[in-house]
Amino acid sequence: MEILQQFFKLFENFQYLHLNQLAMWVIGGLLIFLAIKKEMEPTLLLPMGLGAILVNLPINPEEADEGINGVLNHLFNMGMTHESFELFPLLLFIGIGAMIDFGPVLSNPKLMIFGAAAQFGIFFTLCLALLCGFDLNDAASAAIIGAADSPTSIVVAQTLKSKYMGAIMVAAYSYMALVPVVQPPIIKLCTTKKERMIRMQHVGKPVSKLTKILFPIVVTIIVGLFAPGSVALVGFLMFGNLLRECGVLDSLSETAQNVLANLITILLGISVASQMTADKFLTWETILILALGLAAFVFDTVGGVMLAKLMNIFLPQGKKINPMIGAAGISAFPMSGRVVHKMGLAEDPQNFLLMHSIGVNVSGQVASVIAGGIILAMVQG
Amino acid sequence: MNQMILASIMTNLQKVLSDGLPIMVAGMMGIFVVIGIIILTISLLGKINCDGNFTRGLKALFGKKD
Repeated sequence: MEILQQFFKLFENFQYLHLNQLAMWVIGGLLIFLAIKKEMEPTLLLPMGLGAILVNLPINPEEADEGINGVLNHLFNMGMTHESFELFPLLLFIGIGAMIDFGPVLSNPKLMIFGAAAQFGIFFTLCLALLCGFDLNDAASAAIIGAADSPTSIVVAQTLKSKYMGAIMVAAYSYMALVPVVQPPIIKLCTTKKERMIRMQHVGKPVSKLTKILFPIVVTIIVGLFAPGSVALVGFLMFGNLLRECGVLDSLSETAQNVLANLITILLGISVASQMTADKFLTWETILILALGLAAFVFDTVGGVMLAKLMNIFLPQGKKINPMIGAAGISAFPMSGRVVHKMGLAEDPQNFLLMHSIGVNVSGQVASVIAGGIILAMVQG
Repeated sequence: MNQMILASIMTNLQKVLSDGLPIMVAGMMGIFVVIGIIILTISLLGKINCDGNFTRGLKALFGKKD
């Protein structure tokens, strides 16, 4: 009899299994499928997918804070909360900074203006989210998905203590991977074939090593003076870039680009998953957040393209800008730059926009971080 | 029921006008100002377009040749 009782104890956990947990297993499975089969941001969607299954396993409510949930929550508290200074995303920025070559934008700094214009979607989506009934903190957190820069999204959403962290992360990472699907139809909708065929001369000049070294220092100081809310993000991004460009710390730069970035990415993905419990994730607000994130990406693209079209009104013939490069101002690097380049080639096989679009794309990286700081400064008041 | 929905829409619209729009306008202005200052600074640093000559740098920034 006792043996039977012991045997049935194995099935005790089944009583805690709910339908919404099963739904989260399906969502977790879908994320894993997208990561492996479609290679959509696998470094993050895969840990998030398995994590979503882990945190939705049936468990005795009295032991909810122990076991795997306890471990993942501890990890989250260690590196993702405002109290822990959002350490994981900030450290990831060192790696990202070390990966980026700002050369294309330094050789033609005017391109940075499109990085600024392509942040329009963030602010437009903030208004949309308010219209949908979200409070200001959650609206700003949803809108920052449009930064197309997941560490910035994490820092802003955590600082503003958003309730929708899991949804924001899923949206931020999956839309980044969907840039080649989302952007082309929007660009085509906003431009004529004639505009898409505009050829741009490569005006970039060689960039000296000194300029590349001064750039991260100057940007850090300027952002520190004007947008102090972004200093942590920009400072770490530019620290990584300085490691890359200084020329005497190659091994540190390589470590930041590979070991540090990979290590933090593993921890980041699985920590974010701790917020994907069924009760937090399976809500109407989550679907709304996903829709708002998409809107942010769409209006970012529109913002960049429209600024280029506006500038073309005043530019003389022969100096006109291909408006498609404005769309590369979202910071999904380097996907967005490549998408624009490919679209240019599709319209005219001799139209090489890569240097321009990548220049705009890296400036979008800086602009999105500044946008995050500005949102924080304005919403926190 | 319809009145409740209408009231909720009006409240949200009020939030957009009082919170959203000012943040949108000021935020976009802020980004353009900061990026503008970065563009000017790195252009005037003397090593990108102007080889140490600030006047030439400014001219180069606005597309004028010497």
